[in-house]
Amino acid sequence: MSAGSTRTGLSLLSPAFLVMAATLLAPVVALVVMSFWSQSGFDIDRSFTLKNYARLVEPGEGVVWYGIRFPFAYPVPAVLMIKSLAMSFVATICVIGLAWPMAYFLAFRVIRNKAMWIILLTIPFWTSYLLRVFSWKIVLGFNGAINSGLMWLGMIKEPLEFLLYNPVAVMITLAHSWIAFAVLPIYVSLEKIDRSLLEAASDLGDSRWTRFRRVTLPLSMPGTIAATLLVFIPTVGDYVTPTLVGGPGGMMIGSLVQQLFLRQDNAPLGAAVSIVMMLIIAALVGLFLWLIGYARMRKRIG
Amino acid sequence: MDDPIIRLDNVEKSFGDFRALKSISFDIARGEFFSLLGASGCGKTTLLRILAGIEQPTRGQLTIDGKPMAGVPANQRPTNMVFQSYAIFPHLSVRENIGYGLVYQKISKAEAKARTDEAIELVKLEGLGDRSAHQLSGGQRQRVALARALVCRPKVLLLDEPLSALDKKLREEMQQELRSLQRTVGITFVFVTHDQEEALTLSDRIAVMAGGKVLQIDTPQGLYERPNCLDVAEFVGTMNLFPAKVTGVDGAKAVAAGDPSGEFAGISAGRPAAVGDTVFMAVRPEKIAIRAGAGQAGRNQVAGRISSVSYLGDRSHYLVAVDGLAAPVAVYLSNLAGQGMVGTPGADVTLSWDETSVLVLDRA
Repeated sequence: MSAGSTRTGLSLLSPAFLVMAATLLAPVVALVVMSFWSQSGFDIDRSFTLKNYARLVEPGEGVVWYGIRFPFAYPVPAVLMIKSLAMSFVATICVIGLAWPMAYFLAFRVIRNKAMWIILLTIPFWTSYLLRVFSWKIVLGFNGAINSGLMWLGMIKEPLEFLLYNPVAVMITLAHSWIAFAVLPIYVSLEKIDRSLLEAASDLGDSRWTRFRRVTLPLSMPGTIAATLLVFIPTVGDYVTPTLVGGPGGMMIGSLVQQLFLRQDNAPLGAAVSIVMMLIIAALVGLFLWLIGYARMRKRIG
Repeated sequence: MDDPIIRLDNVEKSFGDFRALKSISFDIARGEFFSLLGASGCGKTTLLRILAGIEQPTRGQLTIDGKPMAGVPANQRPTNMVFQSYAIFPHLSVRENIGYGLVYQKISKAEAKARTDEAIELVKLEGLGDRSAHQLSGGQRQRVALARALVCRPKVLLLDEPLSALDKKLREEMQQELRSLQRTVGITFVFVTHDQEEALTLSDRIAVMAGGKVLQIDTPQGLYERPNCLDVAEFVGTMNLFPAKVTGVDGAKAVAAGDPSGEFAGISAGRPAAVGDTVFMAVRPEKIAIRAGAGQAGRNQVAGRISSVSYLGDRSHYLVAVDGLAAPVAVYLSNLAGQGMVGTPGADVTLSWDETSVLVLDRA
């Protein structure tokens, strides 16, 4: 690349870069710095310390959660971290499981008015995230749509209490909120598949199912992986949904960070929890991508 | 035809109101290199896809190797196809692409590997087995597609314009290779092309198609020398057409008067001409003799004036304007030893030809 085009490239990138630096890099740096400070009373002690991080792994009596032992003096962040990862994982699986057939339908079965279908898909996004989460409160609530519907049908006498304010409600809401984000990348990767590849697979002996397994599915992987990450990463740290529909049992790690910052007035510890959460998610995503790449590499050689 | 590999009996295909194929019936012999030739939209690719089982005929019957193919899906037919786009699986290596169909053959892993190796060698891709599709040139992709189809040992290999994406030199090379490959493996090839030269070079027989119909099925020589209608005459090679009115008939031979360009005698291509018919007297450019000077107009002889000369090395193309004809007459002359150019543009010339070179074609 010549010096001129390098300069053009940089100047084209610079507005985005400046925005990124201001809104992403700066807060992360601030968070990192803060996590090495400490809270004393109402003030923040700005001398360097590792005690926030030490607190997260300090051994102690601990708790047992679903048969897993957390031997820490302050086990809440660890438990919530594992719980958040598990809930996000389930929500992500549900999202991909629901989004995949939709994307497949859109890519292979819809011939006319594709644009209209895609617009229909984005309709939930015309209302705010908060409203969509709130609508689930109305659907699942004590006097909500499901309960009053079932009571009207005479199937139950008392409203069901297990619908709202628990991890399942959080996962349902998360899955619904993120599904359209997953449909689009999967749809794009399916739409890109050259139809003659499918004809060639049939011609070479594949049945519909083996063709799907040997051609369609592998070629959709880039979109499917993108959709998985696009849903998993933001849902782990979400705190709006657990706050609104999760109740005490549906708390996630994001809720803890919010509480540490705002209610418990321990911003440095909240920062440390955030940083650790970020690192764990990054490590998991890295591991996930490495496993996929490794599988492909093995296939190449073997 | 006794025991043909492919038999088409009144095959029709409609897409909505559009009739892509109209009552196609013909046989293809075992081991034949058979081409479907026609302009784009003539139905040749649709016919090939019906043979492959990718499309189903709306009506009519298709038999391959003695078995009716109605209801037999593509993956259970004894055919394999080389696609126009090659359709190389981008997520698989060359070796995996070529071996793709072998999992359905009842053979051991070792034998599958041996057959893949053999196919790689056959199409001269040694050492490229581990490459992925995007690391291949156009010619190499074409070879992978060919090997992938041949390795399954189909009874019929279907080729959908496999050479159209290659540049001229590579295309000619691949034509030779395809031809010798077909002789080596002995499989029936059905080859779709819009390139008449390619069809003539490669095929044992050619079906010329237009508007969803087969116009003529013949050997390359037969098509060129004895086209049965105007469309075939114009599609295969270049043809000079003299409009004329039949004045006398003697068996297949007919005499006709051109208006105003002279008198012609020729042989009827299709049904015998009748006196009074308006016809085209058709002559190939290389059958015409050209001589300097304005001669007398006579039977199979016209006078004209050179309007352009193209020197092509081994031969020269003359375009000669003849009074009364809208299009100039094309004359191809071989540049033989000791033979100079006949003239330059503007020179008067006389054109003449033998009556055995003249075809009488119905004016469509």
